[in-house]
Amino acid sequence: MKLLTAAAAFGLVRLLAATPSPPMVEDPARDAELVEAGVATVEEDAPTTADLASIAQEGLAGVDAAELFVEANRWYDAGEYGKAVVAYSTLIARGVAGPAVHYNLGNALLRDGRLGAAIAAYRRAKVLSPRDADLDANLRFARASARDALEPPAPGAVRRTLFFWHYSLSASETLRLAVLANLVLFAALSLRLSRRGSEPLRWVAVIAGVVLLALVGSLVCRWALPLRVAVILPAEVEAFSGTGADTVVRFRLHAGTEVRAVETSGDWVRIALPNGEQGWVGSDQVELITALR
Amino acid sequence: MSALPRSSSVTAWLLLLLASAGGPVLAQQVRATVDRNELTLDEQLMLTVTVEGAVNVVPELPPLPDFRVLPRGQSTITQIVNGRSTIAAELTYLLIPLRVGKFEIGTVSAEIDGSTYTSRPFTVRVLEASAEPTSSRDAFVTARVSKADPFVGEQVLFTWRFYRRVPVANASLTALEFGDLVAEDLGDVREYDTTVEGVQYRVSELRKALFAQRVGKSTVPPSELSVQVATDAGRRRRSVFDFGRVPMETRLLRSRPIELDVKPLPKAPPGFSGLVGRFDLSVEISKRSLEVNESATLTMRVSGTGNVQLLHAPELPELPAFKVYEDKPAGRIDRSGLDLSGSKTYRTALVPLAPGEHRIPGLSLITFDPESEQFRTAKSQPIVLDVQPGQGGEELRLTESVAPSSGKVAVRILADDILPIHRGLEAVSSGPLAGLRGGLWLALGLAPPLAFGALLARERRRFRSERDRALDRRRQALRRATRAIDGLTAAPSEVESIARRASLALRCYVGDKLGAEGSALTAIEAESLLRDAGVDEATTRRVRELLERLEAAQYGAASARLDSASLARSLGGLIRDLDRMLGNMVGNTVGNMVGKS
Repeated sequence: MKLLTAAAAFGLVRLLAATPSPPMVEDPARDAELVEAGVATVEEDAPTTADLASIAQEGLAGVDAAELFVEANRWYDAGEYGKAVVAYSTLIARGVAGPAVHYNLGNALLRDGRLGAAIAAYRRAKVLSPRDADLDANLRFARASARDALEPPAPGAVRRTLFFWHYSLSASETLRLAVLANLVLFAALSLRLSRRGSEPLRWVAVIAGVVLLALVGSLVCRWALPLRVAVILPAEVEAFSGTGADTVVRFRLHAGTEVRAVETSGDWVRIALPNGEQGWVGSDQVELITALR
Repeated sequence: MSALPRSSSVTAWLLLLLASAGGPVLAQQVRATVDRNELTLDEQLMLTVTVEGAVNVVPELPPLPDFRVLPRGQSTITQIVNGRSTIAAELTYLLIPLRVGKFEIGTVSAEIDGSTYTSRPFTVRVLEASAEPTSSRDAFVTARVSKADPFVGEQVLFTWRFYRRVPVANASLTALEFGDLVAEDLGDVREYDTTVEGVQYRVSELRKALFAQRVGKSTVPPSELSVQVATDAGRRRRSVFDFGRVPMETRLLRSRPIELDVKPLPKAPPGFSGLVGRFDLSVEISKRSLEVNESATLTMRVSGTGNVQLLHAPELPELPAFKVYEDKPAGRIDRSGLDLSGSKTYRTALVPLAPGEHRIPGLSLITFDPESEQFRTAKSQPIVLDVQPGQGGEELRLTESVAPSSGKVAVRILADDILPIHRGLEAVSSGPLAGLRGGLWLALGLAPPLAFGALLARERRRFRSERDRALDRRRQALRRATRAIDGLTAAPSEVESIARRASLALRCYVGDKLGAEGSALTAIEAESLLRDAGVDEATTRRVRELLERLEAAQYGAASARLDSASLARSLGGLIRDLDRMLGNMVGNTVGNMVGKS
């Protein structure tokens, strides 16, 4: 614990100087009014989760992952959500974070008043753990706080039903099941080399082959056909007709809104609304995540 | 003059009738007339636009910013004077004055047959509504308030009345508006008769309680009542031979706007409840003598007249000697009286925690009385409870007394929040295999097909090896047979031995050629194999007969007649014949036999 405290001191002092201190509960309507009245500005300069994690890396480099996770949870319980965000982000940056860390990060961000980043964290957690009911509940809660009445990009019910395994299994679960099906398939084929004409072995091989095909197809779709989603981070964002702030403002979006990201060009991201309308926003104003198409 | 229905068929019939009488004279002209040139604010003008010489023309009215214009219908008129007929369209509009003054009704224009015709302008004068005595009017509306300079929050009685002394129909009142004042209904519409300046009227009355929310000027906007009123002709005594409807005209009756000058309250004492009016407070306890853990119900009732929407419980002081259970308050608002009154009852269960004499201090409620223009404090007497040591557990009767029905109630979600964080350490993976996961899964994925490939390759090698052995036997079959035949004549031997070796040479040749174990073949089996391999019937019979002969020579009396040289020749000839026949056919057969094995 002493080690952690000492190690965290260096990184967190720098970090907290860079961390904005937003209200505990975000009120998009009030934020927009303040922005319009000139009393407040949008959080364009707020450091992203990745920035915070990189700052904290120096201070938390030597801390064991499990210890850091426990400490992050303590910070969360104590209401020090900024510190908890940094610790969870550090775990994620180290590549040792499971879906629970992303989920906890979403909670900490939401408590810290960063709605957009919280929704992005929840969605990352959902990709890793698609059947987590707690995660669904919190994501629903966070989405209810978003101001814009836009449905987040998601596959339709028919597609979700037809390709249920694709949407109800995570990538790692799909991979494990594919390996298992692969093992069963080739075991059955190998046994058939010595037991020619065995009908049960033939059916086992056929079923395992079909399952393997479905699972490998799911993995290929994840890799080759990802759905890029942009989550709006600041209280209000203007979407321009081109890659420049001097172009026409096509529409405005607010924190937590999820839209489809069509392409990126330099520091700009082209986003599309569900009705097909498109606009360009700064890449620092959105968090891009990958979801299932 | 007669007004005709707008039915096109009737119009067409009349036009036909007129045409047969010499045709109408279509002298074009536009006229605009009003039923009066002087009126008051609460009266209306009837503007009649007559377009002569055309029937389907829509005239264009001049701008009339000082009036509200309501179209009232259109009719077609035909006249026959001295044998000449004319036709005209007559359109009527109701003009409701919006302000006092002298106003010009501009020219009304209409386009007939490509030409524009206009009417002459004229002037009308609008007087104040009070310019005419009330008693001279057939129908009018009034709006009054009980107090023009109320305190903020004070109840002001608003009364709207509709007076009429002639038959009316289709009355329609626009929704009453009260600007920034809060209005509460005070019962339904009341109907009664009254006398104004000696004239009897029928009155419909609506009442509201108004509450000013801010200090300063507040205005109650005028209300508008659209109603059809019987005309003079309709009100005349009608004979028993008069049939049909009473002639009516539509009027829009308006009340005057009312201005309120809302005064602020005097400086309020601490603890002011916000209630403005006359309010009382009563406090009762269900029992004054009870045991520890027994409950007594403290009932606080606030009642009175005024802004009863703001009724709330007087603040109960800290009672450390009791457990306190508050119940849902029960309220009642009375709208049937002359003003808004109501009461609210708050019940609280008090459970003493220790024996002794416990005192509940007197409660107070500070209100503002607008009549005396002073703050009043309603106080209750202190209550002393005699608490004896208890014997049983807490007996709470509040629910029974307040809500006697024991029906289930729906659960209400009071607030929503996110679910808690996950705490299991499996959330982070930092083991030695963490970095190898990708490679591990790749290896697990590749291992089965690689293993299967290896098995398949081994199987194929075995197949090829067996096939190669069979081929080798086939190739060497003739040579081995020839060597065996040569051995028959090389050294003198017993007949049985010659027959055995000759038989073995033939059977081994057949076996080597056809992939079978030659030494174990019988004559019949050898014949069958050769037949299956495509050897003709005569040769297979020769093979069988020779093998049978050799078998007989080994075991029977025929051995004496066996000559080794001739046997070698005939056997050699037979094998050469077989080799010639099997040369092209046996290759495939061997492969098939290896595959089957």
